[in-house]
Amino acid sequence: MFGNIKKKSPSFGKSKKKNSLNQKKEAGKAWLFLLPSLCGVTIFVFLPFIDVIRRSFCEAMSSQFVGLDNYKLVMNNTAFRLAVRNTLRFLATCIPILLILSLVLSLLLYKQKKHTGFFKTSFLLPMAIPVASVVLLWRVLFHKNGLLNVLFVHMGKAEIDFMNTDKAFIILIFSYIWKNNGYDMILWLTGLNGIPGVLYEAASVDGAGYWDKFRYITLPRLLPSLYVISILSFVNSFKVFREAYLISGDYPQESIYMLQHLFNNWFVSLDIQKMSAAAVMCVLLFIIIILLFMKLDKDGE
Amino acid sequence: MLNIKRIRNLEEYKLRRKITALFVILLIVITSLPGCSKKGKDQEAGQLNSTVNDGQTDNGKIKDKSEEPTMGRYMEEEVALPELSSNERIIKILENADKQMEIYTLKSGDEFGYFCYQLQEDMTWKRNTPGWLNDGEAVKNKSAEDICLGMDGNYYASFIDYSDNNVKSYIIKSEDSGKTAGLLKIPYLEKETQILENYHYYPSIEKMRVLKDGSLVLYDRWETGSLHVYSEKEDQLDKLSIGDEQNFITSDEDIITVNEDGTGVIFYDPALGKAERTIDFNNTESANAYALKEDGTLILGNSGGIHRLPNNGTLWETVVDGSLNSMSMPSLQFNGLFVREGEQEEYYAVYTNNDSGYELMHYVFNEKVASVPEKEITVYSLKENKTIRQAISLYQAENSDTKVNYVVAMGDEGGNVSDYIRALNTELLAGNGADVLVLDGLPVDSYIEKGVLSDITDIMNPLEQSGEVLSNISDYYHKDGKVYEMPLRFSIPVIAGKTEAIKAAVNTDSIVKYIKQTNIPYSESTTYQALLQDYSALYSRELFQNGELNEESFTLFLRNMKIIAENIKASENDENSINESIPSQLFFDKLFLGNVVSLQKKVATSTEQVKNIMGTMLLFEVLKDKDIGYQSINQMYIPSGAVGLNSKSGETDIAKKFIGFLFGEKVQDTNLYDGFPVNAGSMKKWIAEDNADFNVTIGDAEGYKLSAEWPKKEEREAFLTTVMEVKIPIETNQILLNMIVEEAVPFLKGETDESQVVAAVKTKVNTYLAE
Repeated sequence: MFGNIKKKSPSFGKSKKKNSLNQKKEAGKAWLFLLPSLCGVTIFVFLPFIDVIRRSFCEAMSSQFVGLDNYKLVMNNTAFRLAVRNTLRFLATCIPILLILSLVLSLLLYKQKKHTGFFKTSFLLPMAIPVASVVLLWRVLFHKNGLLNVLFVHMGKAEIDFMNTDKAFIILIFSYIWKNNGYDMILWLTGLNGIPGVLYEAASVDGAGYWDKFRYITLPRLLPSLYVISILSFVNSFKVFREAYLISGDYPQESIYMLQHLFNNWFVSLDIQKMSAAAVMCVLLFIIIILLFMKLDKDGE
Repeated sequence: MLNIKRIRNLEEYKLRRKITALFVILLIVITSLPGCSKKGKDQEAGQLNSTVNDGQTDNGKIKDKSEEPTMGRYMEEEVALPELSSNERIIKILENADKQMEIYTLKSGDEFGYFCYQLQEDMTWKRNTPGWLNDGEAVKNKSAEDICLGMDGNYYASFIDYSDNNVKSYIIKSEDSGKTAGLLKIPYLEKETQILENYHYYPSIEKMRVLKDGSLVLYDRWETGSLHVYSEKEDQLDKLSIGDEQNFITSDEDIITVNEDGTGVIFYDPALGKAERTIDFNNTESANAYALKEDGTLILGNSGGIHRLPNNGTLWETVVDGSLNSMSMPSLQFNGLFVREGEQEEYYAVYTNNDSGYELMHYVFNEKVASVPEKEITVYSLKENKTIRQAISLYQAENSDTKVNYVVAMGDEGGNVSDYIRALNTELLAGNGADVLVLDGLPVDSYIEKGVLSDITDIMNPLEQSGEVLSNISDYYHKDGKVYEMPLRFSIPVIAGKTEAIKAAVNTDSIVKYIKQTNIPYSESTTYQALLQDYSALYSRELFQNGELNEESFTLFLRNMKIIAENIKASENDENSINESIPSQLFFDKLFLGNVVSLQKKVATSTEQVKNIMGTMLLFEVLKDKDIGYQSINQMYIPSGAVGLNSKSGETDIAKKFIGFLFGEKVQDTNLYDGFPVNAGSMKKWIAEDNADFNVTIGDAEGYKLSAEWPKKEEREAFLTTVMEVKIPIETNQILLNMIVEEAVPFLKGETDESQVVAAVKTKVNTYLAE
């Protein structure tokens, strides 16, 4: 036995060395592929952000150090508080709705045997529509004299000024979900397709019902996808500003006044110091949110 | 197991170290890149500086030839025109067969007659009387429209006869070596084109040229997009379509002008009935003038400069840069161009100015002047500003070593103003912004607060102390003992009407009181939008208190606006075409577009934005009704062309000199229809100007008409009192006004209630102000 072991040990050592060499080679290749993107991110994101951090401690147009004054200024700014409140409210409302809705749709589509291609295309189509067209459509639909109000009047109901009342927030959430639902649904479907069918078969043999299978097989197996989908939904949620901006301009209804509106307006008035301080605070906040997602993901594993 | 874990940790540690090392290397490489570039820039700057220094101090060092600037540039010099007697005016400036400049003038009145001044070698003018232009009854008491020297060697002149309810052209041709003239019989000129209000209109020949075979190329005032070719013997030979209102020239056989779609210059052969060739030329919008050399080289002049096209060539060569001389002045239009052969070509350019006068410029190549000016500053404005454009040309003419770049961010295509401001701010943050900023439409207060603008007290104080700048305008711009901006021009919203009515314009409450007492429309009907824009701009000070929108005042303002809108029967759509928005204008240009003609319609007042004396002509005509008076509203004026100095300017001295120049009489004297001058001397000149032969008639769709002549001296002086009274600028914050207008229009239309509008506006305005 010992002899055998002794005989095997040199070959084990060799293969380990070989594996490590292969891993190194693989890692090298990976870095080579990552290099262009890393360069881009460093030049266009990291380095400018270092400048943003510097500016957040300086006066707007000079390098005079002002300590935490800009941060205090921003924290006391009512417009900033309103924008943060609205942005967090928007994220807290629309991301859970989107995740649940797209998961339900993906489960339905997963079971669907016929016309799956048609349904997938239908749900993905909003992503392919240019923002300008979406904005025109929204205007036709939700304007005070738009199609929806015409319908309401015909039904004997009062007109609603969607874009100049709190309803604007609902329109924005609807817009975000309508646009991103298909994308998230596809991501969920990818996760679902990764679950081996034998698990469901074995569970069926053990007498598990639909809910049990979902609770004990589907949901735990989809948890790794949840992290990616949440991050992507989070990132995509910032793109909804385009619609809000194009529909309502620099100063929309109070409920849809987002951080991007404020940043945009600060740039026009050259309030770079406020922008920088606010950006640093936002990045910190978002890093915390992402770390939270990561922790949840690890706990899930 | 433990070993494997350790190995893994070790590998992870190594990988992390590698990533960190790679990242640090990347960071070092990237940060060193701008460093390299800076070094390069420094070297370049060093080269430039050394060139300038070497030029200034001859220190005996051997100069590197590559460091020396390229020399040689066409320089502009004005040719003094002959002194004309009273009632004498220039009809045409042209070149005779001996390449001598000739000016044809007409003296009207009792000593009616045409004269010709010829430019002598010593640059003096010799006057003579051209027999052919004074020959016979045909020309007596008639004003010539155009005079030309045909390619057949004869002079021709076209006249328009307005007698006997006819508007008819005729053409004469010089005979007997210019002693006599003969009337040409052209059947086309005898064809009546239309009858309007008992007037019979025939073709009106405004411009003409003659081919070598004697065929006439005619430009008819009623057909601005075509040329007609005629001969005395035959009727119409040809008709060709050209770019609208374009000049043209003829060679022996060809007609040279801009093609119909304005994309190029055509060489049209009437014998063949088609264009022999078309040469692309992309600047055909401004007025062009042409000259043709004997070797067939075409010279084209326009606001961009003088351009050469060799015979049978296809590429244009710009020999004179228009941005460095008078060519780019908005007050001048190219009228004629002449070329002189020599070692270096010389050019004579004829311009017409805004006062219908003529200017003659001579362009001579000077090999001692650097081909590109060594110093350079940049001026930035959101929209084209005519006074700035004019000033740049004048400044460069005086300072041949300086080039002033004018960057106009927004063209006529419009777009989102905030996008352009963001682009400018990016440059300002990088320290690359323009040296001089035209602040109309820009966030001035923020720029002052952030230190973007420099204090220009040292430029303005001497001008103010010497009384050069109107103190009632400049005083407002002193803030904490400093001056950061100063407007170049200003206009005045003048309200005209019955005394009680114009007194009521002090605030909206008084207007409403007046309306309730009299029950007559306070002004002519307009759109809800225009009404809100005008009144918000005038009375915005009432609405804001302690940096916030005062809810009570705003509610009252809305109620008053509703009453006024109902009183004047404001409408949603503008039926008056005068109120159409013009994309090239800034927001304040669209305010107070009323017209005093409306006072004939039994309305109480009319408010008009007066920008020059011409703008007061109708006003003073209306004032002949003794019950009607006029005044400024709350001593307010609308500033425009406010200029400031960028604190990061690399050429502070030149920029300051340029700003000082902007307020000088040379720039401010010219009326460019963009407002009154802030220069006191220029203001006096404007007031003193008498334009007796100028009159204006205006009518509207309802058939109301008003004719007026140039205001009398006492009227003009009375208006000067109004000008000197104004002292509060209407500082239109477009964002705030847009918020008010957007929300309040539905209220005036009756679609929303008062509380909704107040709440919506308050939220938006307070968010804006909180930012």
